[in-house]
Amino acid sequence: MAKPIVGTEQPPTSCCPTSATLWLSLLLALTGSMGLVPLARAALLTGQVTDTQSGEALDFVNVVAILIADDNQRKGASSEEDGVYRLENLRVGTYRLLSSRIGYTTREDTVRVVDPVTRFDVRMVEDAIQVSGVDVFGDRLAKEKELQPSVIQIDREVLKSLPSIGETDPLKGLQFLPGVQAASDISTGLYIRGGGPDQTLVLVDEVPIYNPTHAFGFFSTFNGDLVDGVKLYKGAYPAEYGGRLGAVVDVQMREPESDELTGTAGLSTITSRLALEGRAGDRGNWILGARRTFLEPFLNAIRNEDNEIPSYYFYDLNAGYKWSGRNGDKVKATAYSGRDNLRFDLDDDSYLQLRWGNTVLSTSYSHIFATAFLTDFSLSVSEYESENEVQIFTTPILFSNRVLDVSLRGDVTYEWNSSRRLSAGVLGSAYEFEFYQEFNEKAQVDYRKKPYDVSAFLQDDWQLGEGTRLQTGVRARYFSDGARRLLEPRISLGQRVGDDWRVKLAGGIYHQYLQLVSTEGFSAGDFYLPIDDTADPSRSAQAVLGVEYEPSDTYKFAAETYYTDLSDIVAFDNRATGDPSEFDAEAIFVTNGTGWSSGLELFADKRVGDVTGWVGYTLGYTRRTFAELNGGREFPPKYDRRHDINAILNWRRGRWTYGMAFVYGTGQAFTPASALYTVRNPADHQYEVLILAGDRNSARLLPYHRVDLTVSRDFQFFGSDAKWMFQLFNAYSRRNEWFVQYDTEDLETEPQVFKMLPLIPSIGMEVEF
Amino acid sequence: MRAHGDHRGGRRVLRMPTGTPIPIRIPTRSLDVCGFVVGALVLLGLASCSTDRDPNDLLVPRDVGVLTIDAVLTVSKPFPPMRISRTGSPSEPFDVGDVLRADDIAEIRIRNDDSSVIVRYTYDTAGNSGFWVPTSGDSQYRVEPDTRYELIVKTEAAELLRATTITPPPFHVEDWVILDEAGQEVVRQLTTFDDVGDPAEVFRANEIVYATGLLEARFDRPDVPAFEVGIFSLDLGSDYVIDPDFFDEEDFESLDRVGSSPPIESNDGTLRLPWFAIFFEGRYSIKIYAMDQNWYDLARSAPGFGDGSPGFGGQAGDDFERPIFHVEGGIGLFGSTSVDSIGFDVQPRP
Repeated sequence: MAKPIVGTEQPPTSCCPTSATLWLSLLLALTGSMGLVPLARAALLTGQVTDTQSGEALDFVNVVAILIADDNQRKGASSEEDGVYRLENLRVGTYRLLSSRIGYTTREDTVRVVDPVTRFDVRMVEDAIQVSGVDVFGDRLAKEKELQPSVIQIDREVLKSLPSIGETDPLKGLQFLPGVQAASDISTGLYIRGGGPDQTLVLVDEVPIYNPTHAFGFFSTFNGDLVDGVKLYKGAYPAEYGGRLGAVVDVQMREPESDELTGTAGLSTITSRLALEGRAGDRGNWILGARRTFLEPFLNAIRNEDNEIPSYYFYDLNAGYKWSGRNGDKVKATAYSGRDNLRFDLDDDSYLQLRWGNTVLSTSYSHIFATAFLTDFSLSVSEYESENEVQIFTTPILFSNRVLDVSLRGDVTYEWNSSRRLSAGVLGSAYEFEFYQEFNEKAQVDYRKKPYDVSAFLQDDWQLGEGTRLQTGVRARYFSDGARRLLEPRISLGQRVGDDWRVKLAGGIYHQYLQLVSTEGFSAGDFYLPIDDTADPSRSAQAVLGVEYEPSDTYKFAAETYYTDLSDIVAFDNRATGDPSEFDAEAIFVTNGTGWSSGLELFADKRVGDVTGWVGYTLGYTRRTFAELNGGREFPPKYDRRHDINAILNWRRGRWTYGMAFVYGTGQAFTPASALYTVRNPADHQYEVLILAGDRNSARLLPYHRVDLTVSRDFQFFGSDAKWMFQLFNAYSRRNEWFVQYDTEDLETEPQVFKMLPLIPSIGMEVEF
Repeated sequence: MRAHGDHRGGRRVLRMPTGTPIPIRIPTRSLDVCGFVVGALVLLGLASCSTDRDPNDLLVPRDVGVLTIDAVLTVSKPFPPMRISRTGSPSEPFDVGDVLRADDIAEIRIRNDDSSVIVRYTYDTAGNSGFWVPTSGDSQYRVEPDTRYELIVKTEAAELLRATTITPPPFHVEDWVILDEAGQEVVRQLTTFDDVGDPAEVFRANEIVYATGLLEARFDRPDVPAFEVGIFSLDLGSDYVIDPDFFDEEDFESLDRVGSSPPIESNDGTLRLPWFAIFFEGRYSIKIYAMDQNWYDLARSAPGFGDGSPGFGGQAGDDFERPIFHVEGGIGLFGSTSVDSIGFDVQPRP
């Protein structure tokens, strides 16, 4: 290793001194004990890295600042394309600044960091000898952040490498992870650790999205080209999130960064898409994206008098703008709109029209105050609406629903001292729920409700010692419907053991007011209803224990076990009539249920090299008990899956990339027929042979398994980087079982097994310009 | 935030909390292409087993031989014949004629709360219809409204089946009207059986052109859980009144001349007849039943019972649950109802 070049201390350049007394007072009020501890101040260290000889800006330079007074205080970052690096939230003091890049001699400088901003430029000397010492620091810093259990971050590149039908889908990509399963091949609904899709909070850049599906769940609403990554909390999530019993999926959209007009265009057998980004003024960047199916010409071509083919399309549009101030301020605005439209004209008297979609608007402002405060404010609007019309032999039926969520959020992060960070936030959400049902020109249900929800959290992230991290938090909630006040404590503890092992423990209490009313398998007609004062909100208590072993950067092994206790859970009451006199929680749901889920997840990940991938295994148990269901006896929900295996393999060889995904799961639970009986229907005097149900979900479909394959090749397309992809979904065309239906015509019970998707090939191409 | 990775040209890239990548060069070992292909083929071979299966694997016979009662009392009518059978195995064809007859049952009786009315049943040996009928001495009794009746069945094998029903109040539709297409204005008042003594006159007076306007019943809502509508095409040889483009011959043949609705709460005291319930021209009888709790609970909880069958997912789906029977020692329906009806004649569209 070359000896580091040692620089001399340079006078710092300070700018923009500001006061944050107001915010300090707020945090003092929140913590209640702030006066006992001297305040440490935090600052931003930034600068440009250049080549000494040529003066060119250098990217990918690892810059790590180590506080001389306490070498546990380390921050690392990498320089961008313009050579600029940023180290945020540094404690004020004197640092050793280590800068390294392959092909250059590692440089060590001493820098005095003052608040709010210190600029220090680094000049690198080219060297033939490669060093990687600083990488170790960077890696350690990263590992210490990994002490929160049950959280997985999947990057865009990894998402794009996963096999899919047509194009990258972030939610379907998550279904390859242990502990996560899908309702069916055509559903983006996530069943995580024994919880239903409504128990998972789906956020896009921290804004909730209520029905993130296109094409009845075949695709999610997220355009893969515009997604930067997905963070999944499978359970025991921290206090900064709330509102769901089980898990959190936070889809992070790409922030515009390019100084020039760049873009990505993609074409698959189902959709075409385009994403553009560029610069706006000195400090602004924008991004635009659009995606649309182009099935109509094909559908029109095959439609004729003898062949009734519906008309269908979906589209979505994304727009984003980011403004970055010199003092670290950042303003972001994003917009999303997506719609699905299905029209099926059967004849003059009969047709079907389904329309649904999401709209999301959000704007946020981030500011770093002088005294170690990072603040973030946002205003968001998220709306889901569906409008469905059916006309059968001139009889019109209309059903529509809408959820509007207008939220105002304010978050504060404060670096208490070198080893402790406090976060606090307030979130106020005003909702509008509408559900309307009309039959034969007569309104049957006209439900409108406007509750609001206010929550606040406080979170203490404390580095107790070398490799020990304790995160405690509490979330307080008030829900107007029923005037509920709830307190939700959260805790997680991580301990690094040696360099390679980590032990993690986490738990918390969670409540849920909003309930999804969902049809089986499909995701189109789903709607949300709040739990009003006729029922108690659902509650879960979660505990997670995990161990990780990471012997090198190449491999990572993890084992986690979890237990979730559920109370006051609800289930949609299929016995409710179509025109209930009361459209409240008690009438729509079976209430006061209890349940539990428990399991063990094993995960092995190879992250480096030409061949990468992971293998996951889950052993899971889930049970529910409702007084009104299954005779009051405990039963497994249909997504109780005993064994679940996921394997992902990616192999990159030159311009070619090969991928394979394997999924195996215990067969879905279903309720079998246990007897036949006959009763005359008093309304039409017809005798009907009926099936008597056995114990709820006491039988199993055949095990589910499939293999997906993908091949892609990079090439140049008129001077631009391009890639074509060929994908096989369900490569051996196993017709996995979806659900069972019994037919009792001719007095015999004929079970019919509906199958899921066969082999589906798809081809696509994308160009980056 | 944890570090996470991607690959750029075979180079491992870690992402730091700031989101910026740190390149790390790490030697990697390539997998031989043959190994990859062989591995994939082996996996395919292992995995591509058939999903064909014996359908009987999807049946779990268990509740076989359970007593099943079938009787619905109608207010102001004589006590009805009743049928008692046993459940059969789902893996065998069901024999609808296999009912409990004279040798199987020791006693059947229905009594009201104060036992002032006790209706004893006897097997219809004369007709051997499979039904049990009130004894000749008790056939004069009529079902009273708002009355609690208890059914007791004792078999020769000493099984005891017990059920109760509370009969609805009398039910009468005040107005049968035809509304305009938008369902706003009354364009015509229909003639009822109460208005005209001769039923034939009612059908002549109530001629309606198919899909013209909306037929609505208006009534003072009695205190019952819900209503069901039964529709009966009376002219068995009449032509179809529909001609949908998307129907083939089999679809036409599957159309029934009788049908019923799911339970409807009808909280505003009105019910509208959907035109999709009518397939044939000619005379129709429509009956509206005020349901007791037992019938209502069975109709809403038994998949496949009536036309209110479950939607997507079928009988074995989320709503496949043991119905609410309100029967001790067995299953089935011992319910009650009060009913009103009207007749009309559907004419084809010109």
